[in-house]
Order: sequence, then C-alpha cells, then structure tokens
Amino acid sequence: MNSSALSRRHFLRSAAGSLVALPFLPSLGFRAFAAEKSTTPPKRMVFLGFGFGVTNETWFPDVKQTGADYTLPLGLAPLGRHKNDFTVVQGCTNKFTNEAHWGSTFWLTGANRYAEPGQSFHNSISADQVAAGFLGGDTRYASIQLNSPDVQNSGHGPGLSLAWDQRGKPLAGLENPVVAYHRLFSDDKLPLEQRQAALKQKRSVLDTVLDDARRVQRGLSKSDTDKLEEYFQSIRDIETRLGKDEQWLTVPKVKSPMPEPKPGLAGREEIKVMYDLIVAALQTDATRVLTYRQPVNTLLASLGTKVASHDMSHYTPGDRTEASQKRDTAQSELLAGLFDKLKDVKEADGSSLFDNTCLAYGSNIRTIHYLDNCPTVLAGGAARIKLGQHIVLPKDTPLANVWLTLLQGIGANVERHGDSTGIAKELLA
Amino acid sequence: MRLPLWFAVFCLTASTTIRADEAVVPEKHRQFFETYCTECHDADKQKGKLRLDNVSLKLDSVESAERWQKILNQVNSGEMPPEDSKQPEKGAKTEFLDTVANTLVVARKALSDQHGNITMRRLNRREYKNTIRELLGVEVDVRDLPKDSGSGAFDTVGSALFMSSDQFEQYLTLGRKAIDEAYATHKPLMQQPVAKTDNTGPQDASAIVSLKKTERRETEVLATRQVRGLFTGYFAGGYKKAKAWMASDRSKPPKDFGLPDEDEVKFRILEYERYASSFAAYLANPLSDTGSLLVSKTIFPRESIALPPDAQSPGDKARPAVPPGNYLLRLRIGRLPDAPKERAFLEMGLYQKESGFSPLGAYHISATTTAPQILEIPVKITSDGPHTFSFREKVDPNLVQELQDVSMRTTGFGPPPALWIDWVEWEGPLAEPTPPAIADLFATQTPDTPETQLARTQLEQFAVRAFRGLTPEPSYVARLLDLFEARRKAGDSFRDALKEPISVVLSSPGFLYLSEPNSSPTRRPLTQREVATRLSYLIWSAPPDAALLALSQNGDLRNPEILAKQVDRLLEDPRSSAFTSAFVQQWLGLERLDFFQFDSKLHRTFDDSTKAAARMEVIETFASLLQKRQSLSLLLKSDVAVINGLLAEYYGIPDVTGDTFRAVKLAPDSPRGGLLGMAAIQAMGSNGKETSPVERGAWVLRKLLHEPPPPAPPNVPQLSRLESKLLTTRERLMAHQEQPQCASCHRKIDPIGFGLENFDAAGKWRTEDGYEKKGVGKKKWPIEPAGAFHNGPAFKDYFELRDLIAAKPERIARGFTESLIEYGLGRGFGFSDEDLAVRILEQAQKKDFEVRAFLHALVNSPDFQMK
Repeated sequence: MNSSALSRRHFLRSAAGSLVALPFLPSLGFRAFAAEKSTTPPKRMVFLGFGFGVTNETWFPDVKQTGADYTLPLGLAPLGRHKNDFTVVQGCTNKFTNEAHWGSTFWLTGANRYAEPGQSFHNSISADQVAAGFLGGDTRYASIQLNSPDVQNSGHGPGLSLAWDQRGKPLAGLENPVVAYHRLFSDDKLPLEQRQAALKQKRSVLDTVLDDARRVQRGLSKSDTDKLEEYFQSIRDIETRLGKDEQWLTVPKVKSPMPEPKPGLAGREEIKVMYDLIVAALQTDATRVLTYRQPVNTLLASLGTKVASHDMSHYTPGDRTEASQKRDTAQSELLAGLFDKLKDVKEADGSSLFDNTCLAYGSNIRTIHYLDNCPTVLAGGAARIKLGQHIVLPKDTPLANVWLTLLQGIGANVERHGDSTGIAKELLA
Repeated sequence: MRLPLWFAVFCLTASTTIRADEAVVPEKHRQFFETYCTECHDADKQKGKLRLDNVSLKLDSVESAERWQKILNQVNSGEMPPEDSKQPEKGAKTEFLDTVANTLVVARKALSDQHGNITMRRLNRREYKNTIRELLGVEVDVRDLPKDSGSGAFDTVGSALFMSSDQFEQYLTLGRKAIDEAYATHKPLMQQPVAKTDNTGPQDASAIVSLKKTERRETEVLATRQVRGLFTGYFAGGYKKAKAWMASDRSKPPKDFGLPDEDEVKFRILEYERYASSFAAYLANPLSDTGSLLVSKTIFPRESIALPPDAQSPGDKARPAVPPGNYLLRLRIGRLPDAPKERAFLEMGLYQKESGFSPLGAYHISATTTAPQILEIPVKITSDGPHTFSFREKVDPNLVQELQDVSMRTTGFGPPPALWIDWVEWEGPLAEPTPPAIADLFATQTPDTPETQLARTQLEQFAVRAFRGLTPEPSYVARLLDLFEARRKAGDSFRDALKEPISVVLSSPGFLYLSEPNSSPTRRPLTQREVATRLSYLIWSAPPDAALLALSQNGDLRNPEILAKQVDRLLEDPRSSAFTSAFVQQWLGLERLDFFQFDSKLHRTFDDSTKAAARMEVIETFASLLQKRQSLSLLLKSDVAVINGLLAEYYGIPDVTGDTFRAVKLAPDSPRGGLLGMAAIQAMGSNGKETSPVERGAWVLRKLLHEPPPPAPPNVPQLSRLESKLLTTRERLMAHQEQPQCASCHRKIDPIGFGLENFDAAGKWRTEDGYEKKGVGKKKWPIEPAGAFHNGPAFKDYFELRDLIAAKPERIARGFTESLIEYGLGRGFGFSDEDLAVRILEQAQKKDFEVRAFLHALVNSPDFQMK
C-alpha cells in the first residue's frame, strides 16, 4: 500500500470526524472467497419492493386460517407450488409513515420522516444495508441495488432505490438490466499491469479531489459540513471499492450463467430479467445482498391493461380491480419463477441457493391508501424462520421487528433496527 | 386594482396566511375529547397508553405532532371512537378532522423550519449541464445522473440534493466526455495555432467557418426509388408469387414459389390488394417527380436528413463524420392545396426500427406546394449522438391503422398525402464563439516556456474558471499536474494529457458545489462573487458570465441600481429560459402531464406534439409576462393566449401560423386566456381518459388560491359501492360529502372541480359528458358547472368561477412568492420567512404584481445577499 493511500485514509477519519472506521483491507492477492475456505454456503439476503399495494380482498389469506393449513388466495395462487417454502405475515406496520403514496421510502428503514427538527425529511439505514455490513465483506460487491426507470408515480416515494445508507441518504440503483449485467459479469480486458496502473491513477484522482474538498470544507457551517460529508463519504466508498478491486484484481469475474439481457425491456420482461440477474449474482457470489425497486406502470402496460398505476391502486369494481388483480397475479407468477430458479441452483454442500437465501417481498402500502398491515412475503432458508405458514402478528407490530428477526437470523449482530421493539418470536422456527 | 365593492365583504374560503404559533388545536375541540375519548383514555384507564384528558393542544414538538398524527389517523381510519361506543355527529367530526389535519400541516412546517439556513447545494442536473455548456461549449447527456426531483422540493433545494460514489464516478465520466467533445468541436483551433494574445472571437469563428459545408438532396430520387422498389419487390412481387402458387396444382409447397407457407400466401394477396392502389397513386402523383410526398403507413411515411457518417440510403459508401457542433437542417416544403388545414404539421424526430419514431419537434407548414416555404431547424450534433433526423406528418401513431382502414373503406385508397418536400439539406458546423476556457487551453506555447510550467498555468486557469472565480490551492494544482505528467509519461500528447486532470476539476467540490463558507454563528453578507453566482444560478441556472463577474470584482453589485440592471439584463438574455422552464414546471407541478398516457381514441388530437405544445404554452405565457413586464394576475384571466399555430389549431383559434409562441387576442367569450384556460393545466387534472374534478379542485386550491388541502391521509376507508351504478361524475363524487373523513377536505375541493367540467380530459371545451361501463350501461348528461366555494360565493359557470378566482390575485401572488423564495434561496419556505414574503409581496403589489417585481424584490432582499 502506498503512502498516499495511508495518509488519505488517515485524513478521511479526521476530516469526517466520524468513528466509522475504514475496513481493514487485506493485502494484495488475498482471496476472500468464503466458498474456498469452507464448504458451508454463505447466507444471502434479497428485498423486493413493489410500490403501490395489493388488492386487499384477494391477496391476503383469511386471518382466521393461520399456521400451515391455510388457503392461498387468488393473488398469491401462482405461488402454490412453493407453498411450503414461504410465509405470509400480517399485522405489521411502520408506525411513523403517513405518506399514502410512499411504499418504499421507509419500507426497510422504519424511520420517522420528521424526526429531525429543522428538516422536512429524514431517513435512516435500510435493512439490506445492515445486512451488507455483515455479509458484504467477502464478495466483489457488498450489495447491489436494482431499480427501474419506471418508478415515478408507482407508489414508491422518494429515494433512488430501496436502499438507504448508514446516514439515511439514498443509494442509487442500477435501472438498466444491461448495465447491471456488465457490472456483474464483464471483465476489464486490459492486462494486469495496466489495471494496476489504472487503480493507482484512480487513487491519485481521489487524492486530488480530496485536496479541493478540504479547501471547500474550511469555514463551512455545520449543515454545510454535513452536506460536504456526503462527498467525503462517496470518496470513502470508492476507496473501499478500490480496495476490493485491488483485492480482486487477479480474480477474473465469474462467467455469467445467463446471456446478456436484450436492451429496452420493460414491465414483466424487465422484472423477469432482473430476477434472473439476482439469481446469477447470488450464484456467482458477486454479491450476497440485493434489493430491487420494481416498476408498476410498465408492468401494467405489459399486461395489456390501460389503467394507470395510481388509478389501479384506487381499484374500484370493474376495470381497475381487474387491473389490480392482474398485477397481483403477474407479480406472484414472477416471484414463483424466481423461487424456481433459486431452488434449481445447487450449492457445494448439496443444498440449494434458495435454502441459503433470505428473501422478503412487499411494500409499505397495504392497499389503496392504507399503510397498516404491510403486505409481506418471506421466503428462503437463510434466516431460519418458519416457512409454509400464514402468521398473523398482533396488530401494528413494527415491521422493523420482522427485519430485525431476519437480520439476526442471517447472523447479523444487531439488537435493534428502525423503530423495532424486539424480534417477532412468532417467526422463529 | 379596482374590484367590485361586494368583493370586500367575503373571502373565497378561509383566511390563508397562517403563522407558526398557530399550530394549536382550538380549545373548543377539547369538548370532542371529553365526549368521545376520555372514557377510555383518561388518567385511570389510559387505554393504549394514551391519555387524552390532559393532552396539550399545542403541537410544538416532534413528539406532540406525532401524538396528534396518531389521533388524526385513528379518527380518519374510523377505528376511533370504537364502533360500540358513542359516535360523534357528522358535522362535528368533519370540523374536528379539518382542524386537526390543517393544524398538523402547520406544525410540520413549523418544526421543519430551517430558520433562514441555506444548505450548501451541489449543481443539479440542469445546472451541471448548463455549467459545462458555458465552460466548454458542449452539451452533455445528463440522463445517467440520478434524478434530482422526487422529494417534492424544488430541484435547487440543497438539503434534497445528494451525492454518492456512483454519482461521483458519473461526474468523472461525463467530465471526460465533455472535454473530449470540446476538443473535437474545436479541433480546427488546434490545427491552426494562433498567438496567445489574440485567440478569441472572430479568429476562432473563421477557423470553423472554413469547415462549413452544405449538402442538398433532391428528395424525389430516393423516394421514388424506395416506393417503387417496395412496391415491385415486396408487394407486386409477393403477389405474383402468391398468385402463381394459387394457380398451380398445389403439389409443391409455397416454399418452392418463394413464400414460407400458405398463411403468407394469403397475407401477401391481402397486402397487395390493400396497398397497390395507394402505391400507384403515389407514383402517379406529378409531385412525386419533383419531391417526396409523406404518406403515412407503409408507402412513404418518412423523409430524412443524414449527416455523415450516416448514409443517405443503405447502399451508399461510408463518409467521414462531420465535426460536432451546431448545424442547420433545411427543407423546402409545402402543404397540398386540397389537404385539410389540420393536416399542416410536420414532426421532426429520431427513427429507429425497434422503438419507432420519437418526435423532437413539430412545425406548422402554412405554405402550399405552389409557393413552398423554407423550413430551418437548428440541431446540435455531438460525436456519439444521432446524425440522422426523420420527418413525418404529425399524426398519433395509435390512429394510423384506423385512418388507413377508414380511408380504404370510403375511397379505396389509403389517406392521401398532405405534405410534400421539394429538397432537404444540412449546413454546418455554424460559427460559434469558442469559450474562453477552451481558447486558453489551445493557446500555443511560447518557445521559452517549459512544458510543465505551461501545463500548470493552464490547469490553474481552467480551475479558476471552473470554480467560478475562486483560486484553487497550490497543492491541488500540483496534484493536477501530477495527473498530467502521468498521462504524458504514458505517451499522451501535451493537450491530450490535460484531459484527465480537467475531468478531475469537473468532479471536484469547487466545481460541483455552490459553497458559501460561514463558520460564525451569525449570518454574514455574501461576497460580491457569491452574489453574482446566486444571481446567475437563479436566472440562468448557469455560472455568471464575464460581465457579471467583472462587476462583482469591482464591487459594483453592492449598488442596488446596478444589481437591478443586472437582474434585467439576465432576464432579457435567452439563457433566462432556464429559469422560466424549470421554475414554472416545478411551481405548477407540470410533471403530472407525464404520469399517464392519453387515450388516443378518446382524445384524438392530443398527441405527443400537441401535449408538448400545451406544456410550452404555460411556460411561454409566464416568459411573456416576464419579458413584457406584465402582471402575474394575467395568469388568472387574460384577453390573450400565448400560443403557436399548432395550439391555435387545437383550440380552434383562426389565423395563427408558424411555430413561434406569441400573444394572440382572444374573442370575448373564449374560455382560453389564463392558466385555467390552458389545455396542459386541465389535462393534468385527468387520468388521460376522464377528468378528475378532485385533482383539478385541489390544484386550484394549492396553486391559485393558496389554500393547499392537507396531504391525502392514509387509511381512510374507500368508497367503492357506487361504481356499479350509472351516475354522473358529480353524483359519484357527492359520496365524498357523506363521510366526515372525506368531507373535511372534499367539501372545499370538489365544487371547484365541478366548475371546470366543461374542459374534457385533454382540455378541450365540451358541454356534455358521458359514461359507459361494460355490463352496466351508458349515460349522457349536460355539464352543470354551477356551484359555490365552501363557505364562499356561488358561481353559475366556468366564467364566473374564473372571475371569482381572478379577483383575488394576492392569493396566487402569495403562493408564487413562497415558491420563488424556495427556488431562489434553495431551501424550504418556513414561517421564519414570513417577513421576507410580506416584503416581496408589498413591493410587487406596488407594481400591480408585475412578475419582474417579485424577482427584483427577492434579489434585493437581505436574505438573498446573506449566508
């Protein structure tokens, strides 16, 4: 490691005044394939957020039928073949959320928008980023955020993906499947020395912009210093990434198990190929944590309905209800397809990728403008929760309790998340 | 302004100016608690750990606001009071919900007040693009940068503009693209080195002029070849093969006759019968001998202009690419004399086989083929951008098939052509001044200057320009120089080696952030340079120009008269369209226009180009007020509409030709004139099919009357039971009045929306509406716009409604002022801005709410000139 990188890191600590330590980076050539060290497959975590809520009457199982013996309602029917492998949870809410059109902004954070006096918006770290802190160390990417170009007016609310960093700032997502594919699987074709030189050059670039950042920082007010801290943080993130690049420099990217996606996919085809990318990314261990903020408008269009997404969410008998139910079904079909693929991929110890993944699917919006009883489907074996169940938790259980349960289930050492009051013991196997 | 006397006696609705200390639920509502809540929520029981017997009615902390939010949510959702206990009477519950919802809005606003603190902001996407353009003279595609909007704040609000590592890398990439493009655009300068002392202006321009080329193409050659080729090859040829197989003994498969299967045989015969007459008609038309005819669907739907390296037709050999820069497309074009007047619009756009035609602009063709007009369209050519531009008659693509079928049925031919193009040409690159930063970079080395020294000077000069006049640290320049030298060692030429450090400058905080240091707890006056920067980003969304920077350097901007003159100068510069476009669209919420597709079958002429023109009408109307120093109140009612030929055709206003938007005098009984008469505004209040009186009413309350309804509450029970009945829109929405949860807001919103029902979902005037539902039936009814404001005056129709709103210009002025403060200062509007708002309003009112007066008052305020 060269001296300038060391001094930069030293500077980052002092300049930010924060205690967030930069990860200690192993020396060049160190290989961190968990799979190489042991045959126990690593744990993975996936969150799928779908914005506008579901058709209340036909998506939720009957609350009187709980446990393993329950009837799958119309909206979840396509998941029938996986009925033993997922759990529907009812009763959860993010109690601070009041925005009737924000299905994703606080979904994974449980934050109070108004918690910070003097600001009209506040958020906190999302569950996936907490997971990335524990699962992200050994992979090329600590986490990958997928997004859609069609998220305006889709009931997601502010944000750039489902993910929010430890300071509650939005993390950008990849919205183009082709770009995501290349991020995951395309190798830099340059010879090693040139890539090493390029890394060195990138470090010099970071040193240079930091030099100017220090000038700008001088004499800033507190809130401006906080603002500039985002810049420092982004450089720090790149620094971390460069460290990883260095670590992975001699390791070629794993060959993609899928072909490059066609450009211009939208709606159902987009979701399908993004799901394929999720499986491919997990299968090749490019990352262990993924989120995907799914499209709504283009999904409806691809199903041949002409109803706009917000009208669909205010479904009334007739066209709109039909559109809303069609959407529920299509989403469940896609999800069932994702489960199939995860089950098909076998790990070194004979288990499947599905067995080692914890997957959550849902939204902060139940239906129409209702924010209680967030629709929640949990699947996969990684978090060791009960599967094949319909669980009705006490009314208004913090959704963050579910996230906390999952996080602890995958081995994350956390005691609380968002507005959690404890784990949801009912979920434990 | 003179108002009828009776106006003074009442308000349209309740008073609108609220204060922070009013975040208090009136004492009278304690009665509501005592009657319905405290039986369970008292000191003894405290059911749900909630006590309401002693609850503070003051919402002065995050916690108390949260408690009231919970109370509101519980009553809204109907969960409280519980079903089996005493229920409040409807009227009392409505009043209670109305009060609590609005008090909570006040409290949230008070609690999020930034107290004048402006958070440092990074350049948003628009500003970044414009700043690069001013600095390097090139356009960058910023679509890869994360979107700045979405949180509901203006895109200038610093606290809502974030930065991430991905974004930083995008800046590096875009900066590199920009400098590459600048080099390519100004290459002539590198080939013709000029003396450092004289390297700007005319000399640079002449260097480019020498590259200028013109290429004209007579259109008939390619068009006829294409039409004839398609006809004889695919249509007549396929028909012949199909007929041959039909006539055979069918012992051999169609494959042996050159067609894949029997379906194809049938299809080819059908295709031929459907189109042969139209092909023949095209080739028989004498105009096809001297030009090309645009005939939709299959025959000859598009003409095109291809700049090298693109080929005019597929067989042409490759040509070297034209340099990037500004070009002109030119067409000699006319409308066929017998074509109906609504078919007089040409669309320019990009065509791709996969995605089809995407329009970039629409043009009014007012001349006929007997005396064609020359149409000139300026375009910017970039290295990796499109080089081929397509032209078609403006028509909704979803209607093309239907038009074809109807025409075939009635005439035996496809729709006849309406537009004829004699020739097409392109010319360029056009001379343009080289930006000083680029001129400096291309300055030649004097023989005795060491290379390193020259590079250092150039990089430092560039950084000063990029940082809008601030000097970078020597250590920073030294690091830039290191980057330069690393590239030099790697084999780059002197100038190429500068590219890397330059793209780093363009990703540095000094460039990306508008920083105004202040470490003391008290506020400080801005420096002159900072004032200049705030001003130019307010009006141009771009950095200050040399003239403004020069004034800031000699301190003249401290003089209010000089500052005011600069405001006027900046407003009169074409760059001020950055302000009008961005501000107006965000202020009025025009993004909603893109939230849904308009149903082509129901709204046949509201195609993409018409929608774009309708959006422009809003912006151009505001721009016209600004340029002509007119009053904001003309947005409420006006005897002119700022429109072009396309919109005039849509509105049915005669004698307006061409593409320039200008003020057109309206007939006295016209519903147009003012925002409410604009198609874009009414179309936003729809879902693309039907009108939404709720959206419209809420919009009027928010934007024109400054009485925004509280945000849509969560968990309110939805009314679905009426959907299976045949009811008028009004009957359906009257259900809102039944439940207190709905009535508390909808009693104010809905009547206004009903008053606007004469505008259909695409903003066209109508007198009748209808409803059709499969399995339920059909119903038609005349529009009945009459109604009354909640606790306010009655109106019998749209015109009276408009007049009532127009009589209260201070309402829109207030909302406009708050938005302007938010946009201009880059932070949310808070109660602590009350004095500022009042001062701006007072000054503007003295000038009868002249739009410019608001801007002058803002710029002249201490808030604008203090950190």
